Amino acid sequence: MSSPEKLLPVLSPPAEGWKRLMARRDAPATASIPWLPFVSGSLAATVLAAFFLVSRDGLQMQLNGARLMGERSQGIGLQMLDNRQPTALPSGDPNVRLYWVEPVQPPSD
Amino acid sequence: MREASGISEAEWRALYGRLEKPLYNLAYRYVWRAQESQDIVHDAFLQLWARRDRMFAETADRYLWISVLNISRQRRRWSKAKQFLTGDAELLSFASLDSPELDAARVEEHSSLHEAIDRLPEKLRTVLLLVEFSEMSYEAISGLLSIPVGTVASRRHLAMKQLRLAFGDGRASG
Repeated sequence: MSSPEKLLPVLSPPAEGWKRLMARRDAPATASIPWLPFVSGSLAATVLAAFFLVSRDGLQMQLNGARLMGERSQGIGLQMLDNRQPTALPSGDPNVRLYWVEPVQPPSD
Repeated sequence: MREASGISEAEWRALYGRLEKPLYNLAYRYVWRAQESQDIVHDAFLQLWARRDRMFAETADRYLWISVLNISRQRRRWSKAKQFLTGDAELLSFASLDSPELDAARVEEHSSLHEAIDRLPEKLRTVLLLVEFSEMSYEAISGLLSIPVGTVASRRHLAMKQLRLAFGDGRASG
């Protein structure tokens, strides 16, 4: 039967370990970035920034579109006023356009 | 609560003299690289040194064993992740055995053994390595790992059984 000593022989560490340890202990402290937390923190910050900066308008437009689509799917039609021509209304935000719309009146039977 | 007695430099040096080899052997069976294993041991001792004023001398052993275990596991996980991401099979290659006590003639034999140890479940490997290298009693190991004493014995027994099955009694005997 094989013994633990055969399966797990006791090995000697590389020589001069104490000398190396003392050299590390007494080395001047350098300001080092713990890179793993730094990388993971940077990634998280990038993802958050991308979410808020890149997709904000797109997300807002998608939300509006989803809402309009939702309304449309409920059978509410929308048409633009002013002879079906898009009429932009002034808004305070150059990235936002406003149009007059009204629900399409279903034909009365 | 009593104040920490602190650890003097002489005590720290004595700890190193006594524990360097067994701690090294534990770390080596996680990372399989001599220099990296020594670095792990040094990391643990440097951590202890940084906290020496807040430590009790009588718990320093336990602190070092836990530190080396945790650092070894962390390094091993990182090596495996790097291996997965980069496809670099050398990162955990058993062919890169660089222990100063292994000669070329025994590399193949030790590669098989190292693979067998590496395939052990983490819980079994931890107990086995602590039992074989730490010279701690089963009671002390059970306190260190927060498991019952009987579990220490059974995990050690199971680990040895798996190693013998994997490695083969014929090659290991004599």
